[in-house]
Amino acid sequence: MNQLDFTGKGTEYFKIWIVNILLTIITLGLYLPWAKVRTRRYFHANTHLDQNSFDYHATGKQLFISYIISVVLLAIYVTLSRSNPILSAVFAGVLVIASPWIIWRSIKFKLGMISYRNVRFGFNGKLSGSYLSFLAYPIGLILGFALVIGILVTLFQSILGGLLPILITLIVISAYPAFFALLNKVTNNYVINDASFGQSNFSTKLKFKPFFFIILKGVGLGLFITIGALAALSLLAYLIIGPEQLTSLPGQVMNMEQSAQPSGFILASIGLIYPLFLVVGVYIASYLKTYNRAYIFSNTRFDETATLHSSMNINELFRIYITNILLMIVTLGLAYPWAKIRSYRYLTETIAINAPNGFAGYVSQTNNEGAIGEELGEAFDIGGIGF
Amino acid sequence: MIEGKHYSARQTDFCLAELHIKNDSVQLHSQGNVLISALYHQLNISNRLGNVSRKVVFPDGSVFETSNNDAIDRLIKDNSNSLRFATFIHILERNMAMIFVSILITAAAAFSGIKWGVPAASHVIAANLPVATNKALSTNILSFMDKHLFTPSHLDEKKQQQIRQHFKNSVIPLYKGEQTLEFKLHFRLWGDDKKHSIANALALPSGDIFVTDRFINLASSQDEIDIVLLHEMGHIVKRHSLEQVIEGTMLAVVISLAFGDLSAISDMGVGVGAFLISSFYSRNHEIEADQFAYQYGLEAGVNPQSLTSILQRMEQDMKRQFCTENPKKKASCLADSSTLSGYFSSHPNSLERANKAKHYLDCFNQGLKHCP
Repeated sequence: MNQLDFTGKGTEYFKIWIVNILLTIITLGLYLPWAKVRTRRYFHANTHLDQNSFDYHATGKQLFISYIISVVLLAIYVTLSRSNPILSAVFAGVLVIASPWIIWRSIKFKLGMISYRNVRFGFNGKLSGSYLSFLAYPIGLILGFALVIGILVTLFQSILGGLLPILITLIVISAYPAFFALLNKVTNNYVINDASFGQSNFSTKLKFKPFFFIILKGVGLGLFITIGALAALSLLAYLIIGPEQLTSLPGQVMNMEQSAQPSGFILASIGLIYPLFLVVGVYIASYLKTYNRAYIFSNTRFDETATLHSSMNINELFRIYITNILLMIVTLGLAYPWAKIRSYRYLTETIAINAPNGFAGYVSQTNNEGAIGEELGEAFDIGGIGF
Repeated sequence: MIEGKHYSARQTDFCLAELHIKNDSVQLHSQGNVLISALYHQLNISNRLGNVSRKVVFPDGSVFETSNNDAIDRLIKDNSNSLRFATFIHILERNMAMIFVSILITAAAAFSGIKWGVPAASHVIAANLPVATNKALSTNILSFMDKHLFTPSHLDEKKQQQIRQHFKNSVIPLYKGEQTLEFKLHFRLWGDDKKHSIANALALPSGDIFVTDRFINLASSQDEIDIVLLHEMGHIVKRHSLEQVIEGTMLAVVISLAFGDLSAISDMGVGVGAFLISSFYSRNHEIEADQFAYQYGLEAGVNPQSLTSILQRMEQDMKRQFCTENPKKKASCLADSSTLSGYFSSHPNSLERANKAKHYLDCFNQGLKHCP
């Protein structure tokens, strides 16, 4: 069993980050692709498996082309939306239809630019698969669902009457987790089953049910904590200021934007509720990340014999995220590199690979150069300077 | 001699090797045998990046990898532009003084960008968008507010008519700019009953201005009503709602560029900062609307003092309503609501605002129609 090992350092990355930002500012944004490359290379090349490192091979020039294309497209869109609403809607529609193609290109490019021990990863998925999982499934599910709701309404309106809206709300709420679970299953199956390293493939058989229960549990847990905390807060508010003022609260909150000054109490409750939602949001995100990854890894094989393991712990991940947020607030964002390194380190060092046959004997299938034009897939990737 | 690993072309297989350099040629040795030799200019050497291991690619596609960065740096005597640039960046990254300068420049750029750049850019963009965009912003807000916030006005129909007439005949004509703008006055009650209602005036980008019954009742003179209406007209004319939308978008883009994808959730920490910045922007808008009201009010002989006095009265009224419901601690309630909240409110009695008021009051007292 080999655990991934990350050797990046906060101070070192801080210097790279600040110089990246400086040059991006000085060049009015033109340097951004090169900044991206430096950042990605820093993180990949500091990630080790079995004492050998990964690497990232894209060049600033390659990303620059796609960067310019995305800027031009954005400019076209903004101009159109200013002058011609119909054309801009058509343009947006074309982008939606093209998006599976863009995603497909982008996966191909990104995986093709990563290497381990001098051998490239790759992606051999078909374009049709991308259209199926990134366009047909989500749109089909939404349309189908709308159809079912429509039928329900026409059939049962007379019987259920006033109960119908409540029933529909319940159905919609419970359909949400199912929707995301199904998309999780379809997209992960598509990407992983067509990913490769050298001449060998990754394979997986992910099912709907585990994803569904993970989402259900995570969101349920989050709702439970939120409702509990809100109930406690309301009780506290009731005891302190009495029921009459509670009813005048909404008006007061609305009024904050306008002439009057809000009372200290309103500020205090906003000051309590915002962090509450923040913390719950982070907890749900950590939950989903931890368990989704563990499930995907436990079902994924590489080259038929190698297995993947995730030892990520939800409480530890949650702790890192929360302390990162605090760190960012306290330092006005200047601690970003350290925060990034901390979370990246934890995310990578909790990955282990058991490869009984070792890693020797793999051979790159591409010519070590991405096919011309594949970098176009990067066009809509606006990940910024950050990794 | 540099120690490292030698990978065969496009393969994971490697052996330990040493790189020997002699003048313009390099040789790769492994266990005493010469594996490969090449001329210096045939090599492709990766850029220095922190202490990440370096790669030297040979003409046959095989790769020599080493973590001895300094030795590789000494090997490089190339003067090609791309290598020189990469070395320059690494020098930047290594030099503490340069790092310090970078932090300063970045901080200064961020500060001035947020303070002046974003508002100036959104001002230009907002001014160039067609009137239709401004109207589109307010289509749904009107019906939403009537449904959820307002109830019909209880004001005397005659009084409404009189205020409307005055607004139409004496206030609107003061502004002689964009003629496509249509200002329309609406009367509403904000709250459930007369006793517990809110005194306020607000404007939609479409030109609709709302005044509440309580505001009309609080106003002690025509001047006070006029100057508040001018203030709201200022918001509309200067397209503040539109600017706010654009400022928000730009801020989001800038933040995502600098902090990348720290994972969406940690961005929420950044969200707190964004909230503070946007309340700073809306403060600027208030000051601008004040100035608009003073300028045009002065032409019609409206006393600048009336804005300060009506705003103060509205504030007092708000506090009194809130605190009378809590008679036990009325005194402490009144005191409490003015301290902390001052920092967050978008209508603060800030020094800048007070200074503007005084400046225009001086002009008014001298009988001037325009204030320099």
